Amino acid sequence: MIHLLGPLVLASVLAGLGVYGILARRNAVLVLIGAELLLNAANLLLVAASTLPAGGLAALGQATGQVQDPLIPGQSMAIFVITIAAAEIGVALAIVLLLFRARGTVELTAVQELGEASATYTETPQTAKANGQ
Amino acid sequence: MTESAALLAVLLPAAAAVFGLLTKRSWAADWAVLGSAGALIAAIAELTLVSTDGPVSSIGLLGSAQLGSITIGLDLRSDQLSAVVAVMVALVALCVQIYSTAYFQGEGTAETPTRYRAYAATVSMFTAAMMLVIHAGDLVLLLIGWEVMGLASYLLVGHHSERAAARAAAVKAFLITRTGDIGLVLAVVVLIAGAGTTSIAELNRAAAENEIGHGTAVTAVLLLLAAVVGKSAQFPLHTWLPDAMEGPTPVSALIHAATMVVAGVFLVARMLPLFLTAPGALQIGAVLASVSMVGAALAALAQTDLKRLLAYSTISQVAYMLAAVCVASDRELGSGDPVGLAAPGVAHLLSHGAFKALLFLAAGCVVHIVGSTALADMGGLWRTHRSLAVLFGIGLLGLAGVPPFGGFWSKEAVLGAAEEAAHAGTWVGWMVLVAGVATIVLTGLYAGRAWSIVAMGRTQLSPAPHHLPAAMVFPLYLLAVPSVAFGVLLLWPPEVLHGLHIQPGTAITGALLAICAVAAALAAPRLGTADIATALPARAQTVLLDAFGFDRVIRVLVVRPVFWLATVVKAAEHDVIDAYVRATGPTTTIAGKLLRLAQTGLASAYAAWVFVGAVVITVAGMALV
Amino acid sequence: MSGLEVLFIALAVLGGASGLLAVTSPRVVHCALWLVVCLGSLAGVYLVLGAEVVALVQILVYVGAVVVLVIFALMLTRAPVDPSPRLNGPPLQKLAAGAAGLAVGGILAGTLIYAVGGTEVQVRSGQGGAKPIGEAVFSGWLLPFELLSVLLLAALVAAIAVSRRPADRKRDEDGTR
Repeated sequence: MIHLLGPLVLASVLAGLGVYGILARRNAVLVLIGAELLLNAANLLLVAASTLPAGGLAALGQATGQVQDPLIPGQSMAIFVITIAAAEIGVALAIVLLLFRARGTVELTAVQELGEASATYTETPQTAKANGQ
Repeated sequence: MTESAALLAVLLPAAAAVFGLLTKRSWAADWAVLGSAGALIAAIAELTLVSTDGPVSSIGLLGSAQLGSITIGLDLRSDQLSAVVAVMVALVALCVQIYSTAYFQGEGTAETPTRYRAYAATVSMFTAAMMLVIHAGDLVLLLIGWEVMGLASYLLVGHHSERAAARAAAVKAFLITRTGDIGLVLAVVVLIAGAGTTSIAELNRAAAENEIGHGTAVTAVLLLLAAVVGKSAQFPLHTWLPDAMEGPTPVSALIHAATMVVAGVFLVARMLPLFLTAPGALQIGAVLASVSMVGAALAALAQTDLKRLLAYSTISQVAYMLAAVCVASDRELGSGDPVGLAAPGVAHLLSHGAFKALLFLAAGCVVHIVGSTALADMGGLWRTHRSLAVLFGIGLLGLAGVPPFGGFWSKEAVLGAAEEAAHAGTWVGWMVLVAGVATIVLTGLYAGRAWSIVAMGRTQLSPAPHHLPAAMVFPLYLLAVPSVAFGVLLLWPPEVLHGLHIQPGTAITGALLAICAVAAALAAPRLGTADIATALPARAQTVLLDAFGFDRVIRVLVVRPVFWLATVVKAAEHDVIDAYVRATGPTTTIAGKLLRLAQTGLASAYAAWVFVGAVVITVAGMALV
Repeated sequence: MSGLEVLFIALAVLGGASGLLAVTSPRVVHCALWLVVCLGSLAGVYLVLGAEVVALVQILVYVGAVVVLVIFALMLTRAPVDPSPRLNGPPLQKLAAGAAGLAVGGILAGTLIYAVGGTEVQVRSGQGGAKPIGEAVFSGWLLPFELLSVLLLAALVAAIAVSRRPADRKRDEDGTR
């Protein structure tokens, strides 16, 4: 027997750390590390939920509540999430590399062109067209 | 047969109006004259048939309208009252249409086009509407005709719309009569709610058998009285009528003298059983009629414009009719035969229609000759156009009530009714009697004054006799016949006039007073004053000319508050309602400036919004659950 | 307190602490390494919870591949080895980020504990083994699984396409290998 409380608290802590990492970091790679923590928090919740019998919490106290869901959705989902996370980090790091190549830095503060009153963005539609050609 | 005659009387003028507008321009006069001639023939046939075969209570016109829980029968009815009035209306309409063909000769100038085709069609439409009012078997149908009459009046008063005065007069007439018409609409609503029907016959029957609740009856009668006062130009809704003289003179003769303004009296006569259930309302009507009678006669005394003089006399004479029907409840307390009670008013309605139309058409000839409506420009008609002067004089004698002319008999019938009521001991009877007798004197004075100015006076007309077209003179002769010979009718009165009682006492007094008053006015020029009105003090002249300044009272009591209210509403519209609309622009701009601050371009900031949003939504969800 | 729970608590503390260090460490490489520890301890937690295959996949894919990728990226972007103050945003941003993290974590923990706190479950051995997972994935989850393979392929192609240098692109267009 094991308490579900532990995995839940650990997942919440990891999610909070992930959010902190995403918001506080300036380095793009470190932001991605925060995102990984968030994804793992979700995974932990999925795996913890997979220990519940078919029917979830409602079936727990009942006599029939010991039957395992043959599809094991929690763990299958966790595997899928890991796969998707791998794909995501691959594309994301490729973008970071591209950014480094273009700007020589991976700091997010250096790429604010899409914002209002960007310090580095000076293009007008006409110059943008000219630059593109 | 009666059904067909009544239907034709209504539909022929309507058809003439439509065809007159749709067919060739040169046929307009033919359609107009044919339409009213047809209506006259139909009306005479109707009168004959009704007298022999008795009334017809329901003539299918538009079927019936099922409105929720009540059914409104859009049917006509025909009885002696409607037939007699229809003959009078059709006769005057025919005379006016013939007269107008000459009156509106030519195309006019570019600045003042005659617009004869629209004019003739509108007059035909008016005739049809008046016929509808007369024959309506249901208050809703009557209301339709009533409103169309108002529209035609508005259009014809403003016929010369290039003149600002005509436009103002048209709007004034429209607004004031409409104010009264609200009463008619509300009365219909009240009667539907309280009595469950709008059929006139049904209402009269229910009223006679005391089936209508007292509250409903009083409310409905008071509201109807408002409509009557507005349409018949009685105090305090009378000021539109003198201004309406801006319209062409034939229109004044038809609408604002002989027919439309007496529609109110007709309504009271038609619904007299209902009115009799609310004697208090009738007393109010009698008071208003007495005030109008004397006040308008006084105002007529000092008018400097022939048409305005005649207009005030119209108010005064219509007040006679209204007073005659309004004393009905005091004459026969209890046992009432409504037809007999209404007879004096109806009689004066008929004779007045004839002599007033004659007067207006003759005045139109005078204006045609002189080129002005001001009394100061007229004079010497007796020497230059003697036959016209005679016709004018017949009209004036009828108006003044000098025997044996038509006006004498009907006016004495009214006074007889008032005396009967006075003998019954009611104050209303005495009031009407006193006012009536006083008005006889005043009427005689202003009729004589008009004669002495227009027919005698200095010769100011052009020395070469101005030729009058036959089409303008012929209707005058036509109308002179009933004006002179109305009394003959009383020898073999139709059923509707059976209730006439001419009291010898009042008759002789009235005749003497009328003759004396006319004589006094005629004698005035020989005593040094060409115009009897100039014998009055200057201030009195001004006040009377101004009709006691009632227009100013209206301006202070109604017009200014309405303008003030309009200013307030405009300010509210501009400063309150529009403010919200105008605020959308700045609000959007400010909101845009604020939201731009969120667009930093920093990916972390955008992510922060996502998490903040997630937290907020979660917290909100928890708070709501 | 059973042995499983003791083991779980130890792993959880290790995972939480290493996660904290991974997002706060001033050294870039240390961050990546602490991430390895964190993910590894999570794999242990999965084992405790009876999810053997997931734990293995965690070690293989995350600890083995993803973290290596991250370290590669750090090297390619010439990340400094020494402690660097420029890794984080300004103090105000850190404060706000901390607040946001606390809020998210707190709310998550609160709702989860409110919903399923205090529940005890029986961990059955063998339910997360290769055989049941394989049967589940290749029967009921077959279509999502195949879709995922397409996604992975697309991500692979996309990563290559994005990260190629302009020079490489030009060479390809000229057709000279």
